[in-house]
Amino acid sequence: MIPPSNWIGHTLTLTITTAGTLATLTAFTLLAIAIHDPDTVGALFPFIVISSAIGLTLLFSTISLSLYQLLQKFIAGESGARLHLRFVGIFVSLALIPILVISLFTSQILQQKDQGEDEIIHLLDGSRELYKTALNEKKKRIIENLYQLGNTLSSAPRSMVDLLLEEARDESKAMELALYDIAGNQIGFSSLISEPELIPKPLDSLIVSQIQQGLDYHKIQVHEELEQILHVVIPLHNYRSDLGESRILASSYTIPKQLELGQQKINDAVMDNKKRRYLDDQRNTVHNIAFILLLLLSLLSALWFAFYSTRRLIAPIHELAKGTKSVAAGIYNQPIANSAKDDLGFLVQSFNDMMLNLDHTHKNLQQSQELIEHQNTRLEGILSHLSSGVMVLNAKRRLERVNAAACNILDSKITPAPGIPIGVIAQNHPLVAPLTELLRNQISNQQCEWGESVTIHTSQGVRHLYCRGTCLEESGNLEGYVIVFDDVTELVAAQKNAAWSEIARRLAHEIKNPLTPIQLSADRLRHRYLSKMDQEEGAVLNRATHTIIQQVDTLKRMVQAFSDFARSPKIKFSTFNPARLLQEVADLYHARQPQPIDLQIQHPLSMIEADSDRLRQILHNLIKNGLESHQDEEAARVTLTAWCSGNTLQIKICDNGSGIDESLRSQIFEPYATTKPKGTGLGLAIVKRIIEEHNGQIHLLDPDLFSMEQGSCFEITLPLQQPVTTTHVPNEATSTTELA
Amino acid sequence: MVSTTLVYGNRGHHSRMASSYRTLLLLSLSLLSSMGWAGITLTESRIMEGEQHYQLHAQFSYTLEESVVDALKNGIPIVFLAEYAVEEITALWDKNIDIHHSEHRFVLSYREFTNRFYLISLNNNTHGTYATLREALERMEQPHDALSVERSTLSSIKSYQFKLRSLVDSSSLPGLLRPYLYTPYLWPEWKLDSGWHTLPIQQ
Repeated sequence: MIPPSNWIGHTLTLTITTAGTLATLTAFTLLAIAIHDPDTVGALFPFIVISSAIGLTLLFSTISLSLYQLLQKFIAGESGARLHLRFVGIFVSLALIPILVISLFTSQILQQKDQGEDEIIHLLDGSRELYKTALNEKKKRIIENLYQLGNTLSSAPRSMVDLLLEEARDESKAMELALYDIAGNQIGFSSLISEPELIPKPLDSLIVSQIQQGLDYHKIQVHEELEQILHVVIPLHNYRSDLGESRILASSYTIPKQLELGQQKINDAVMDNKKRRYLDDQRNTVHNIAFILLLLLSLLSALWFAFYSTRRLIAPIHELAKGTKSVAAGIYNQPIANSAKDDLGFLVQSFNDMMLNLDHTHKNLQQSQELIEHQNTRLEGILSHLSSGVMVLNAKRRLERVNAAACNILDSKITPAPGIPIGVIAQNHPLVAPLTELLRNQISNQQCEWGESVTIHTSQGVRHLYCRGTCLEESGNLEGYVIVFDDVTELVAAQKNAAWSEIARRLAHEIKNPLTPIQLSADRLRHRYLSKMDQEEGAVLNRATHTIIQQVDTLKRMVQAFSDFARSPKIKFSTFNPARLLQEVADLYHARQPQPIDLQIQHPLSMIEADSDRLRQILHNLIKNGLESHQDEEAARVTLTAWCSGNTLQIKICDNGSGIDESLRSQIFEPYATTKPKGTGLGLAIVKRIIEEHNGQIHLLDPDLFSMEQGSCFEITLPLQQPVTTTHVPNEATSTTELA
Repeated sequence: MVSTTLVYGNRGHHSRMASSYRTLLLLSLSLLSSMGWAGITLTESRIMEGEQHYQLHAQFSYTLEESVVDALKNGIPIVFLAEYAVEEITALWDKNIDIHHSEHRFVLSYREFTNRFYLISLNNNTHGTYATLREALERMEQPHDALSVERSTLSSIKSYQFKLRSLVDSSSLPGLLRPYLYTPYLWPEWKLDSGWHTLPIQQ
């Protein structure tokens, strides 16, 4: 599709050029008419001048504009400009050569003269010479006759002069005779055409001067009535006169009619010839103008046609070049305007078809890419929200993808940079090494699908992972591996807890029942046989039964602990002030000196929704454990710190006891893990269970994280509000009083 | 007696104009001056008032350039036409009405054989031969009574004017030479037209 501005420009240029050509052709036509009929030249000439000026100006302007635009495109390096310029040059050369050849021949033809013209000129010159010769002969005879008359008149007395002149005029057939003295004063006069004047006019001084020098004077004068008169003046020398007076005889003769007619004809012929030659020159000028006009018209038309045809020829190529650039720039939906039906039109059509196909393919590709990106995004989203860790390796065991859960589980910030070998990642992140080793083993065993448990040691303690590996295959070729692993630490712990609970329940059930009969039996034995035995045996019996009863008590307490652990009493939530609870727990130890509890409540605490009895129990447990962990009972100290953080209540219980071994730290909340010689190892397990039943968490802090030099430090996090599913029991002890 | 003063062109106030317009103005003036080439000029014109009539007295001056003389010496006779008229002055939008009109034609030619110029007055059929072109032109340049109009033919409530001009009759020239007269802006030396001059009649 041609842009509107270009279309307007092309139409305007075409219109101007057509107008220019028409105007010039009009001028040329008018000139041709004028040449054919010279009488019309005058009337047509202004129109010829105006139309040719308009036409040539328009053509010249259009061509100049075209050339300027072409040069601008050439300088700008626009595609096709160089080819356009070259084609214009070729076309102009092709047009100029014949024009110049024709011009050369035409100018030669125009300069040729008619050969007969010179002959006519020669003939006319000969006729003129002939006429002059005849006139000279006539003049010569007249002069001879005058000299003969002069012999008579030279010595004639003045009184006889007029008479003699009259006779002489009649005899010589002169028109007029006059006799002058040598000074030019008239002596006598005889004329056919005029009467003597009262005061005779003297002879012209120039003539007198010439005569005085002894020369004749003769001249043809044209009379006002168109008669030609031969005027002859001769000197007359009076050798016989006493006074030696010389006289001057002036005469006028009419030229014979034949001679005059001949002269008239010759003159007319000469003038006609000159006129014809002059008009021929003018005609040549007109022809030259016509020729120049035709030359300019041809030249400018050829130039314009060169521009026009080249532009039409180049336009599809230019459009093709633009289209190619568009394709290179990734624009496929701009088809090239195609109006030509020739080979170039076919080429443009093929190019448009190709662009259409490319556009279609590109759109499909784009859609596929968008789909892939969408799926990738979805996959990323799914992977990022998976609780399982996922690692994808390619066939060369280079990490291609790793999700956030994997980083969390492995406690490593693994950057998912494609192309990094898993071995390098394992070197940088040691927690990945077990997985790498597992993968290597499975690959060496040619296992394509496998599942293994792995234990790793993270900063949060020992974690149990369950890993599953799968080979990615496509058309039978190995494309990579996927490793999916889950942190089953909690699950293992829960399983352990469940198992231990079952054991505890069975132990409580199986052991608790026979303990009372054993204790009663031992007591009965002591009472029945102690009095019957002597002192020494009685002492043994007493000591033995006492030991049995004591050990049974110990077993009862142990069984009670087992029972407590196995039994999961229902939590009864109520809303209360945790500060008060903390204060009450701390007050229980005020009887001891020195004060072993250091209670620190930071800022007013918010009300909490919890089971106050259970919280009191876990606080007692933890404080008791802390105090018992010190070898010196009096030096034992426990710091109880509480504060609210957001929607949680944070309680930190730290002691200055002997602390917990590093090996036991990861298992401290598991049943039967204890640092005390007589401990059941169920206290912290129960604490953890109660806290988890409150949707809270308990952590054993690293020694580096708390200020006390030794001992252990637990941090409890409890939500201030429980989820709505939990059972809430109104508590009359609820108070809004807050401790500062 | 009324006489006219002929002024060609005005080189007045263009000094105030911007320099860009000055060039254009100078070009225009040069074109005007070329168009105002004085081949034939009215040197004197006046109205002689008689008891019964008004007499127009006129004198033209003729200057022929080389190209014109060249045409003349190449056998092209040149017909000079002097036109005189009395017209009634009408409104601006209307054409003036001719009351009287007269013409005077001179034919100037050259004879190669005698090397003389011939001048024929077609009005009174008189002729003369002249050794030089100047003499022949002087004959045409003689002051003359051009046109006479009777007072009785003029209305006292209307305005009248004499108008006169002298020019070369283009129709008498060969067709190939007429372009010179039709496009005098291209050939100023062929501008052989005095243009119309008017003299109002004061009644």
